[in-house]
Amino acid sequence: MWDELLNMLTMRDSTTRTVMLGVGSLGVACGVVGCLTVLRRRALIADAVAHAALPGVCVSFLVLGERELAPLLLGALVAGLIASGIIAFMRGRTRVKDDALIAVVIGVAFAIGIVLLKSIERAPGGNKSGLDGFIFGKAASMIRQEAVTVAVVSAALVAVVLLLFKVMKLVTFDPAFARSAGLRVGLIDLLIVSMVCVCTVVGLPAVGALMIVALMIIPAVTARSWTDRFSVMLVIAGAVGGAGAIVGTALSASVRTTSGSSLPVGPTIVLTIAALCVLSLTLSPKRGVLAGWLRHRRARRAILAQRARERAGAVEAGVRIGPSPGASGVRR
Amino acid sequence: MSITASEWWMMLTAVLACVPCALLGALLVLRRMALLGDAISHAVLPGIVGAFIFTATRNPYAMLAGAMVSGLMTAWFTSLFSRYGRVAEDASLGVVFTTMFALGVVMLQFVPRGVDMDPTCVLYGLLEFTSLRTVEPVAGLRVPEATALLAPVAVGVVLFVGIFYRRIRLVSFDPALARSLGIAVGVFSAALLTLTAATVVASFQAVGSILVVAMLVTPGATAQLLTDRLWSMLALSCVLAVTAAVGGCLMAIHFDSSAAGWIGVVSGGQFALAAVLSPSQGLLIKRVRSLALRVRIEREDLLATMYRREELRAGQRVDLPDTSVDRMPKRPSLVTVLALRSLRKGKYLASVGRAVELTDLGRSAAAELVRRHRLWERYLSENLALPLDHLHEPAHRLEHFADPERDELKQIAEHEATKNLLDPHGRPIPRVDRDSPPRR
Repeated sequence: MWDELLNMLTMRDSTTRTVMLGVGSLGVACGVVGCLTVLRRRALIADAVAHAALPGVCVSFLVLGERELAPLLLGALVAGLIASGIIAFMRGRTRVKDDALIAVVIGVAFAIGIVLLKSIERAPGGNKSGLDGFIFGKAASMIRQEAVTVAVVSAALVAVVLLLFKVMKLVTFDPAFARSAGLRVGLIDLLIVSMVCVCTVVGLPAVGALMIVALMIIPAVTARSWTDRFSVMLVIAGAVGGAGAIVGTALSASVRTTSGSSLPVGPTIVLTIAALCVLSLTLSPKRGVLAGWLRHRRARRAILAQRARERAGAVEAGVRIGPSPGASGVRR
Repeated sequence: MSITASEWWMMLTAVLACVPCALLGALLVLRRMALLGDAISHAVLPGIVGAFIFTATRNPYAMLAGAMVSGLMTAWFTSLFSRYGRVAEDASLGVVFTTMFALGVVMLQFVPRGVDMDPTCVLYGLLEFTSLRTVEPVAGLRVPEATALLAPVAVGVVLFVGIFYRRIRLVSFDPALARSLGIAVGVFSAALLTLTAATVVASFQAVGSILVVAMLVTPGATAQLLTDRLWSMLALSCVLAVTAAVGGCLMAIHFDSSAAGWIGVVSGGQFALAAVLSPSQGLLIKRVRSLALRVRIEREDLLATMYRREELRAGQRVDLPDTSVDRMPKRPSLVTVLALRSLRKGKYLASVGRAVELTDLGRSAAAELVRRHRLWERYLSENLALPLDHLHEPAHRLEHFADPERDELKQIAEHEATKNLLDPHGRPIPRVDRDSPPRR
């Protein structure tokens, strides 16, 4: 197992290099784009987009009757845009809140997808095999051309974010000011959502629908725990996404289950990144759970100590103030 | 269409799965925890698989226990990260549930061979095969296992909501007040989460993990679109869930397709219909209301414009070209056409050849509007010291919504009544006979 892992990570043979190029660049792009949605508090839009991909793929299969990857993914892209469009359109127009809207879109889109999948199964000569691979993904079977496509699209996404860095920063942190400065905030939001859709769709065949959501949220959250600067956060998130994807892929190929099969790639990548994230959230010096808990405890001690001092001062001065600390409801 | 016994069982099971989902979902929607249902229904996977690996059987109670543990862990981790790790609530949820799901999928690989458990069954549910697996006959009836598992959960959820209705109402709408009244809000939230986890797990076999999300949130959200009261929202979401379940099953039987999928689709259709057609907040009624408002404003603007033209013709107008006077579009919009038609119908305007002019009724209504406008201009100029060229716009807006002589500004009007009645631009403020106020 360890030899295999080492082999994968040093990328000796060209198949490994191909797969690593694909998943690594995908990880970087997802990490960078994810930052934008997480900071805008729209992390779970990606979830809706990913679920909408299933009916999109099915519709394009039914319409075109082809199993070519490109038209299927185009269908997923269109469905993702429609889903996020519905959420954006309904937002604020009725009493139903954002979170419920997203949940409704997720559930209903998936239901539509399942009904379509069934009818594809029943169609003469129809065979759904390959279509539901989108749910879990198969990075290991990535061919050279696919990997290069994924890499090019990912590079383009990262380039867009870098080129529009200032605009993105403004819209993310102060949309009201951005609007008053004459920026078309709606248009930029649309761009961000489209980038989420593109990321999801490009990642579908490699890591699967549900895992791509994790690939967008988790690196961003990890990066956020280490820095307060947008630029640094983008870099860290990209690095975490890329490194996690590569290490996860290597792990999935080298760890064998009891029955001898290899681990699924998407979930293994997610678990790898999640491990990094949990470590960061726990140990980060500024925003970590541990640091937060220690700060909390220090503050409570300080307050108790100050109260005790005040009380002592009051007693010295001969003033009686209230009952003693033990009886005043202050725990410990 | 004849329905076989196994299809009856399927329908009953679907209803039993959907009703508790809808009831709890309505509460989750109100507390803005809709996505927690989504999260839990993904996150129970490792618990179920873990129980499966551990006991090596399909014992539903072991799976239930495992799922409860992982469901509650999800909720706990989410709140831990968002409270102490300072991560936004939704992002924290996203991290936790996707990770749990990934863990579940990886653990699936370690399930010993020969035990039937595949991810698609977990995701899609197998409502169609409900009646294949039954428990021991009760009173001669061979009750399917899924039905037997769901029935107590459904009864439990209905009882929970029924017994604690008043508390639920308080906690849902005003948690701060509830806390100050000594209700343990945390315990209540935990109970809600536990019941949700239990329902999700019990419905798991019947509707599948992801469709539970649809049934958990959609009926509640639909009901929220249709009503303002908690009890009717709860009742309505139950009705919607039952109709979706029965309708979905019938569609599935008719098309020989996935029942779980169709139930979700029917439920989504209900939501879409309600979003468009809801009488209180549907998109359609909002369009109509905004059109009606625009027509009313256009009517008032037209009347006032005609009045100002008459003034101009009579040579009473002093100075300052009023842009609104010269504004007459060549091709009138729908709003203008509707406004003109209703003015003619109400005998405010009379046709003279190809043109229109004010009737007496129209003139007095217009005078009142112009009076309002000019009173507001005076008020804004004197009390807020706005410059002359900034008076028209705000007065123009206020005149449609606030009557200075009826509202708290009444005294200015009375005050004005004794003075020479000119607005800040030097134009006369029309007098209106208040004893017989004309209907606009």
